[in-house]
Amino acid sequence: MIINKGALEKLVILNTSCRVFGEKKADNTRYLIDVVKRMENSQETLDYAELVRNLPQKSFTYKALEVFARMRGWEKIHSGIIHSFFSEQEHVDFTLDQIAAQELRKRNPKFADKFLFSHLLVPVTLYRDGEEFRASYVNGKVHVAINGLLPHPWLKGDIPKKGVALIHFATIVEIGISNQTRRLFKDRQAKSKEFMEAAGAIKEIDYRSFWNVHEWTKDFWKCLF
Amino acid sequence: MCLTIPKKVISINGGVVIVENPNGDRQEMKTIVELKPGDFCLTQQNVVIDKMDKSDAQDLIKEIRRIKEKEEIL
Repeated sequence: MIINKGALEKLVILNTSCRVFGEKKADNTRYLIDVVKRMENSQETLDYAELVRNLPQKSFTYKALEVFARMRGWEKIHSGIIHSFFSEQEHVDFTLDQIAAQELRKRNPKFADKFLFSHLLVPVTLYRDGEEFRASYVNGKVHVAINGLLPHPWLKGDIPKKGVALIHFATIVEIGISNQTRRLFKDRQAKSKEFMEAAGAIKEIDYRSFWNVHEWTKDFWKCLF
Repeated sequence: MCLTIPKKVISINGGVVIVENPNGDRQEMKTIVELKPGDFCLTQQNVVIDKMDKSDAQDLIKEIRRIKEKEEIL
């Protein structure tokens, strides 16, 4: 199994936006940032197993990505695989496991719904007003208004006043998303009963107040980039 | 890339493995690795994909409990 630079870059962006994963595996992320910086072009590849073996902290999560790619018959992890891994039922199941293990659903069902929604890479209409970013996620009858977003330091290109983007937690991960790609993401997510129920119950999520994600993300990036 | 939740193998009957989450919930899984009751494992889409060392699994469970006890997640 190999991974190209474009996919590894996306993996780092997604790792550095996850409030659960980020700080607990920060040494791994630092290592991956360094590897990305040393790679020359987006198509350059690395042996994935070797990359995972060299991580400074033990992590079983990377194995899940490899299995996900293999189950789909891929021998190369590219950006599309990263998109799928973070936006499909696989990631919903992964997050539901955490919700169950922490008994989040029993303790705070509203928090659990937002926790699940935040974990998925979702396509949104993004609005920029100066340095402020807000978005809306619409899928069938589901409509979630999202506030308190931040552009990732590795985000390429200027953010227009209105456009289609991918977000993960409070992070703007990618901009310039085509309507066709947005449709693909929405269709995938519409198939997840648990995700659609959670998103349908939320209506609004502000990352400045929800679990301090906005501030946490800014502070975490200061330590890394 | 969230934290992987380790699960404990409770029983194996033919190709069906019963695993237990740290909160005590049990699930039926298939497996692609050889297991015995008491092993800790990593699962994906109702399939056991890897075994975990007991100490690694216990470290992760401790981490999950720490998050819960400290009410890091409200």
